[in-house]
Amino acid sequence: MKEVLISKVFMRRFGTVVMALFVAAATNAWAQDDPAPPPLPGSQPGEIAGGIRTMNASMFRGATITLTNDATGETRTTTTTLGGDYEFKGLPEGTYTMRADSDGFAATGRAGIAPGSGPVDLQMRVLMMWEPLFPVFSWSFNTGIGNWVRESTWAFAYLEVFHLLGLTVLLGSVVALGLRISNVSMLSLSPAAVAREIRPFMLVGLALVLLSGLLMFAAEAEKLFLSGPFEWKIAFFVLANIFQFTAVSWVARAKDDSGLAFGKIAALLSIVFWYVVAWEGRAIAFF
Amino acid sequence: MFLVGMSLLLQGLALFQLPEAEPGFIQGICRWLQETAWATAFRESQYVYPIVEGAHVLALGVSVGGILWFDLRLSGLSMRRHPVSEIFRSVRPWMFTGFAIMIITGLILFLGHAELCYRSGYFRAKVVLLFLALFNVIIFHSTIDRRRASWDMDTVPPLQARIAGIMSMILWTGTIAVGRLMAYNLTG
Repeated sequence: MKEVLISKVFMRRFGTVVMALFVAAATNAWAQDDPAPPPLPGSQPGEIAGGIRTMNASMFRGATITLTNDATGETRTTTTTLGGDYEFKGLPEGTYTMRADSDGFAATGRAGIAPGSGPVDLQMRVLMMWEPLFPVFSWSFNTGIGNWVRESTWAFAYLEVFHLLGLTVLLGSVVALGLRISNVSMLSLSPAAVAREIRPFMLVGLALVLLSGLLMFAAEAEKLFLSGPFEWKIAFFVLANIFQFTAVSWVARAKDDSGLAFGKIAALLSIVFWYVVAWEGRAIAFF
Repeated sequence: MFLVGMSLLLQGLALFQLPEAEPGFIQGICRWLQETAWATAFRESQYVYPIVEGAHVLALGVSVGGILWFDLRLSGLSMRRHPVSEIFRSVRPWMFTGFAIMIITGLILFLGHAELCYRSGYFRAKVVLLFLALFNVIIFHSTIDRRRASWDMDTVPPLQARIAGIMSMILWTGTIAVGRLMAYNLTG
């Protein structure tokens, strides 16, 4: 009862005032024009500005931007802000060359920029282990075979099938040889004899994987150049091959089975190395 | 010729795709399975899905990669100087581990895409091939394998054992092929 009374009194005394304020605010908002959009960065005279992004479009903080006047060779530098933005103001007329650097990332840039011509946005990408090999990736990508695999609806799918069959034979061989040299199974023959039996199948598996892999590589080389899992896959592929055909072969063939002292560790390492290759290969599709 | 014939056969499986509309009883159940919160969470997870999928593929090396040596021995193509029993004993533990991983991860993957799988001609071919592989094992163990003691040391086992070994390799190759192609056939 009391509350109702208070609110009634309140309404009578202040209701009009509140109402008036409300109406004033609404009309004020109405009367105002839509605010002009802020000018695009780098569109004012004498200004070069923009943003640096990573490959997945997040803001790149702390990149060093170097701007060189093409005529005078004079340079100015700045670093990108938390939001990945940079700007240069009060630049004389002319054309400029811009370069963006950051540790662990591939340098990028643009030439022939005129001040006031709008935002200059660049993407930075992580520096890859095989940076100098980019021409090889690019060449493979543009070969006839690369184009053919890429454009055919089914070629890639069938190559995947062969890749997987090769993987099965190869991993099966690696594990079988590993079990023999670690003295776990197939003990009725010497490790050297078992290694000889397994070798042709291991090589067939390897050939299947390599051949199908090279063709799929050609089809996707430019994408794979930037793939972290592919980088790891190749690194471990090289390591696994070297280890398999030097260390494991030596352990299996050493005279009087003297290599078997290292059998368990060699088997374990070879299996781990090959499985890392296989996992990173699968991860290319996911990450 | 053989490769062309096989790929045409595999290509033909795409024709057995069931439509999305008018689901039958089983397809209805599969749709319900695929649309449960669990299945959706699994499909869309950032790490669980790749790990389960990766395990399914990687276990090939120890499941089919293991049985391969037994099949090769049975068909007289490799390991001829080992007794058949020894090869079987050698590969059995890792082969069984591999197939256990395959079945568990395979079931999880199926539950994540139950309806898409059911509609896919490749999935149904895979199930048929798996059953054929199972029958092959059952026939082998209930017939010629019962007399294994008499041919355990033969460098070239009897015809029926060789057929079982070669059938097994063909069926597993087919299973891997349709399994891989299925992934290209699961979208929509």
